[in-house]
Amino acid sequence: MPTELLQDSLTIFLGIFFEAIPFILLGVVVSSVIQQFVTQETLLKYTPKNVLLGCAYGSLIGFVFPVCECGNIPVARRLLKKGVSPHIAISFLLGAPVLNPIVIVATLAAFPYQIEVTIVRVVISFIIAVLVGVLFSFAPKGSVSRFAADEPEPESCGHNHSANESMVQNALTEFFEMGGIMVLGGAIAALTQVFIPREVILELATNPSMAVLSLMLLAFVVSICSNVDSFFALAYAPLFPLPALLGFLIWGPMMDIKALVMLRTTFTVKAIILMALVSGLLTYIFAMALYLFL
Amino acid sequence: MKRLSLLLIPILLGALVLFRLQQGTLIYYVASRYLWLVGGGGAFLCLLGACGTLFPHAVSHVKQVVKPWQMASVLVPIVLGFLVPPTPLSASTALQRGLGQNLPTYLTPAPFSFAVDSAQRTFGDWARILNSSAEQSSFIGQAATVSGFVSLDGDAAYLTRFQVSCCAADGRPVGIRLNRTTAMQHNTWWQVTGTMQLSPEGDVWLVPETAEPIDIPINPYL
Repeated sequence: MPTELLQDSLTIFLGIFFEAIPFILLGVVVSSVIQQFVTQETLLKYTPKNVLLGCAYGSLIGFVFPVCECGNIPVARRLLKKGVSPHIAISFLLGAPVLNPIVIVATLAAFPYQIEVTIVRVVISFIIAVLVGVLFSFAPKGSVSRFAADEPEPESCGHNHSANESMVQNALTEFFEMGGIMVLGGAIAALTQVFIPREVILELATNPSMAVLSLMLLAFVVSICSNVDSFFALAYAPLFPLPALLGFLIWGPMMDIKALVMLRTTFTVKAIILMALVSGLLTYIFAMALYLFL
Repeated sequence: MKRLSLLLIPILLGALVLFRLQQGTLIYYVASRYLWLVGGGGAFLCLLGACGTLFPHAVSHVKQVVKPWQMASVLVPIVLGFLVPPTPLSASTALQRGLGQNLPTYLTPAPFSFAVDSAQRTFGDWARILNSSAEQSSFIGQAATVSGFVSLDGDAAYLTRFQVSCCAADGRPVGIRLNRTTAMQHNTWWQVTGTMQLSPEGDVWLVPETAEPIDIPINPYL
């Protein structure tokens, strides 16, 4: 392998890591604010008891806490620790990276003359986030999350902490837990970018079905943040049909190599595999159905 | 020692980001539009580490939760970022990412006007024109001054730049075919002044009249 490619894989790795820092920190800050100022009672008070409404509620929390898929995992962990049901946290996890104002504005900016891209992206992401959440509501208790919902907070050491002290403690803990995993995910994404030629993926796009699958695979491999993935997808707009681009824009924020690794901090392996397979299958089905309309 | 490391690591990572920003090399990793955001993240990390010194009891709790491998993992980009000299994406990656295979670019087609002095067009302008126009022969004989790195793909040579939308991970190579001189080695930066002419293969290429080796520009990406 040429030295240049090794050097480039380092540039890509650091690029992904540096770019993710502000979004991880945003997630850490939001998580710390939730931990400090949103009580379990408040959060649960507004959570609908009905499973369907609960999942819809979870998938729309991104409008209040606009975090991409790098930053939403600390928030999901915090929600779970606050006692929110795993299926609602999963709806949040899958929905929030798209169903938030930052990503909607970015998608509109990237596809200003194809407003249907933004509308379809938002609507289908919402439907999938709710459906997968509902599916997980049937999972046995304790089989989804890696920790119990009523697990005591780590700061429960028998005395009171000031708000600032608790926030610093939570921010540092989340930074190391998320940052450590992010390094691993970023390294995998960088190496696969160098080792798997994009032409191999692009050559798969010879028919509608393979076009959708290849762009979903690309989204999974490049692990690009949902805040900016519309601009990346734009590069493929002239070659690929719109349903395939939407496959990229819908599944990418839900599941990619980087997020897959980060999810291990919060969910069981079985739950992650099921989440990836079901969200991927639903995205594929919706994208194929879009060929009838777009 | 572990307690000190818990505070030093975020500070060092923040310092690395701010150092690269100050050196002008952060732009090798992230798109120019996000420099302020990433720089702000670096400053926040320094602040976070500094705030930790005010709350030793909180840090002792963090010490119980954070595992050594997580700390070691975050140290990896810090060590690499400080020790390995930064470089922008190279010609090898440009070829690996399909340079010269007419892959789509981020560049949106721009209206062409003969009223514009062709020598004033930027690399992006030329790439946009040559990637989007079916009437490439219209540009034969026009003067151009552009800079980029040379990518050699078999017999073909390209003056190349990457378009970066977010970070180096999404860099897309854009090339202008070049009738290179032998001095123009793979992955070296050149400023070329010449004219657009018809190549033996029938497409438009840039034939240099003068060519000077240059340093990597302040922003190597488009």
